[in-house]
Amino acid sequence: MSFGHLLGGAVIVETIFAWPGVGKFAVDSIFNRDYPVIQGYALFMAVVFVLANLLVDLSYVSLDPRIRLERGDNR
Amino acid sequence: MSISKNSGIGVADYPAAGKLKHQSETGTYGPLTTALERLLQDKLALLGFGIILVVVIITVFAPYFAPNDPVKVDLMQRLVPPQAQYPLGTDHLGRCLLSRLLYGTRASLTTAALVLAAIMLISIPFGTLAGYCGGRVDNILMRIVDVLLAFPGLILALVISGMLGPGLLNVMLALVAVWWVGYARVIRGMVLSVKEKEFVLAARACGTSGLGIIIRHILPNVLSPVIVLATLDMGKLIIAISGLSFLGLGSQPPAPEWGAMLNDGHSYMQVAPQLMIYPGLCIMMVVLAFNLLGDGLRDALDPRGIVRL
Repeated sequence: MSFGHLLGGAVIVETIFAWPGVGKFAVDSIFNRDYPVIQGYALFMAVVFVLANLLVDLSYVSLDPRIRLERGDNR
Repeated sequence: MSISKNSGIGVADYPAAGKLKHQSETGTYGPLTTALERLLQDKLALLGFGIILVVVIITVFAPYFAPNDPVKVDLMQRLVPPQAQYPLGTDHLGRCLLSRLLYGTRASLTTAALVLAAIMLISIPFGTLAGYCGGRVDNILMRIVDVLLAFPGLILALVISGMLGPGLLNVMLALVAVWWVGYARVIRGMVLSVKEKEFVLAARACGTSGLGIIIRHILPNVLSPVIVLATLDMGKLIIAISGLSFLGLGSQPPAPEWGAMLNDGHSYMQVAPQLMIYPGLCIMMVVLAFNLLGDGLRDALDPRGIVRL
């Protein structure tokens, strides 16, 4: 879940060191009133965040055999 | 009937921890008194509380503490080292750093407190409604929460405040819009577990209305974890506000704010590191204080500890 915090932190780090990353791009487009870019940024980050959470959930199943057993019992 | 009514009130009064006066009148130690005692024994929590108290006093009396005008520009005195007139030196426009730090507590603390109050106003009715009504209402309300939780919080706040335009008020709106969902979820979970307890059943058997049960019997039990969560989140909120201000979305240039001061100072990081060190230290200290107090409150208000009495 802390992946979201890292994504947010990346914006600030990119701004400090002027790294040309997605976060810096988004902040620049905010000040240029470039709304499609901002929307695309939010959507992209949400997709990344959801995929990361999905990966975490899936890795729980493969790392901890008890969860797979419980799930098997339910079905 | 009268017996069941008495027992209903007696049981219901116990979880209603908000009545210190009533508890001391009857001579017994209520949950709140015990929690307060436990909090007073926690040195770290007291330290956090002390720091917060000092910062709040500074917030209120900033004009009396500040040696100079925080927005007065004096280009002849730019980037001067600490001296008698400017105890912490000046920034790139010759403004007194200490005065700006002291006034900056106002922006950070009041904003965070207002955001937290607004979050409570939204999430407590929302979570209670979802948890208490259950069924389809719960389903619909929680899907809204799930959609908002799918976004990384700080990034959605960044995008919303970017869309609304720079300004402290817009940052507050954005943070409220993003932050309330976590609380709504926690409150719903607490309400779900509390509403199955026996004292709620007893209250219902006495004919208490739905709203009465929620206000008198459910909310007092839900409130203590929410208070802990709010205290811990106060630090996170201050960091979020400072971060957004650092990006230039929060308070606008002449106004002193810690995050904005970091932004001003970071182009002079090599020649005048104090411009970034002091605001950073202020943020760190306040956030640390809120975290210490929150940890102490969590230990003191632990519901299992209350049951153990």
